[in-house]
Amino acid sequence: MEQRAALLDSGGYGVVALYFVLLFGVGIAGRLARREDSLADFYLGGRALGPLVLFLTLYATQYSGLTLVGFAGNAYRQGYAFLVAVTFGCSIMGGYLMIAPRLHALSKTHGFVTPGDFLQQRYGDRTLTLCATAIFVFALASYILSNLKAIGFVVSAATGGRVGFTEGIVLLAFLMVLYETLGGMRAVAWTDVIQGSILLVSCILIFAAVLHHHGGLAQHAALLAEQAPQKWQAPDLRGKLGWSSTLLLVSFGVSIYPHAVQRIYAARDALALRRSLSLMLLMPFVTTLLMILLGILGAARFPGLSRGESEQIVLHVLLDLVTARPEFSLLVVVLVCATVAAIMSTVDSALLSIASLVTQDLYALLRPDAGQKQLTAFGKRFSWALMALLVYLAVALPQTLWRLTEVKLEVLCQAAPAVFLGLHRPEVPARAVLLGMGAGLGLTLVLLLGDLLGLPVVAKPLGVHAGVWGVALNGALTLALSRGASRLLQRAA
Amino acid sequence: MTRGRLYGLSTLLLLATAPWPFSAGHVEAGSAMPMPPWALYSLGMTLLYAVSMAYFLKRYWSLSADGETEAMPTSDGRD
Repeated sequence: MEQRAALLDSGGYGVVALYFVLLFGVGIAGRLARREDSLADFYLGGRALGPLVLFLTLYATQYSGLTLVGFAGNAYRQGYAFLVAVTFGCSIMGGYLMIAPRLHALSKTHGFVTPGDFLQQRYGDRTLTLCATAIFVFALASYILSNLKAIGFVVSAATGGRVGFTEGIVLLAFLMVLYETLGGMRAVAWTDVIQGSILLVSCILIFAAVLHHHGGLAQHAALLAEQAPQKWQAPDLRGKLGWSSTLLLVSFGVSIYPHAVQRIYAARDALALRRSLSLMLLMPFVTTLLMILLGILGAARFPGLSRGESEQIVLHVLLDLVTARPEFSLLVVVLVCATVAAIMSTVDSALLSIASLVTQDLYALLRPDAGQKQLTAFGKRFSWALMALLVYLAVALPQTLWRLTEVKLEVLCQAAPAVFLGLHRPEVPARAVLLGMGAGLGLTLVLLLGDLLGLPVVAKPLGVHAGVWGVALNGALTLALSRGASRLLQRAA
Repeated sequence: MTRGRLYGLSTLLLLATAPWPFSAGHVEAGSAMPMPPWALYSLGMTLLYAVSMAYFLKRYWSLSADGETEAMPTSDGRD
């Protein structure tokens, strides 16, 4: 195994080991806190999450390792144009404004566990529910896969190759599925409190230390304008359309991620949910923005890095700081822990959610006589089996198939009209939604993957994402068919 | 305020965060500016959006929660 300089020293390993023990302990605590063996208790924490836990679990789930690594890397390569990421962090609350209040109220009345429960109650169409569930499962599985791959790289880098890519994935996947199957949503939410706190404090500490060392942003901004003026310039029209497209894609897509919807269900009451969503509006400014500014500072300070090197720009900047100021070496441990925490908090939530979807929306159909205890037990076994499969895929998936994981958000968006219209337009019938979803999904996939089939298509016509075109077609067709169906019924009457 | 207007307004505010008023092209960096003017605009509009959304969540939560009628009576829970 190739060994490089490790980022962690013996003290760092000790901190990480303590963190792992803490996670396991939380898993045990979650198990002991269970009130009953039911899907609602296991997957929704008994619908009793208060505002602080709810806020931190929403925060930790939304901000993955991409925040600490990918965002800074993107800012390094794109410059200030990547500030769109700050806005899309807020735009998700725009999506929640439209769905969370009503969805929370309905979930209390009808006892929803999964997004599929809402769709089934609203439309009464099993085919529609299953199609939407398939979309949700694909999006979540893709999300887990890309994060598992990231965690393998982080562990390998942190240990200087002593723990390899595959071993890192296996070790952390085992830990995640262990505490998740022990304590369910309680364990996941309580570990998110730890992981979210680490992430938030780390972003602020690292940014503050680097900024203090470099004496502010202005001089680096001026240097960047000189070295790479394209990173300083405003986007052109196509870029602005792409900016807006990104915001719409994220606002509609991320707000209906099943693990996010289940946190809406899991809120103790509407006040707790509202407060936590309001707090979330601040988080892009103290997380995403700070990482983007670090990426931009890095672009000025370390020009000419390759794409792969630029993905580690936060580490570059930090190691540069530590070289000059060794007293800040603890920040490297902080960065490693924060990155691992961010990835784990996302993966465990997504895994829990997939298991609930498969259990409630698929297995329960095949075993209608199964009791809650039996269903919960199945869900736990499924989590273990699924994680094993995803670990294998994270290690062995051919490079060409990784492209499929990049289309998850655009595919996920195609379920958005079903949810948004379902909540606010009672006249929209199931078949209209199903046909719209099919058309939107078809258009999205043709635009995204058509070049593999030799079709003369571009993935972002006019700079607008394929998924947004898909949602536009999806929604328009759904509403048009709804109006047509309404007129037919009126004539018949 | 109706739900349609509320959601329309929030979407417009969101789209207004893009730096529409600024044309592409070289902009001189001021000696004390931490970022280009268009980026400051975008961040400022994002902050406005965030504050607006916090207000909407507080003021119009019930409006967004109340349905005009109960959803189509199809099935209650699972088949």
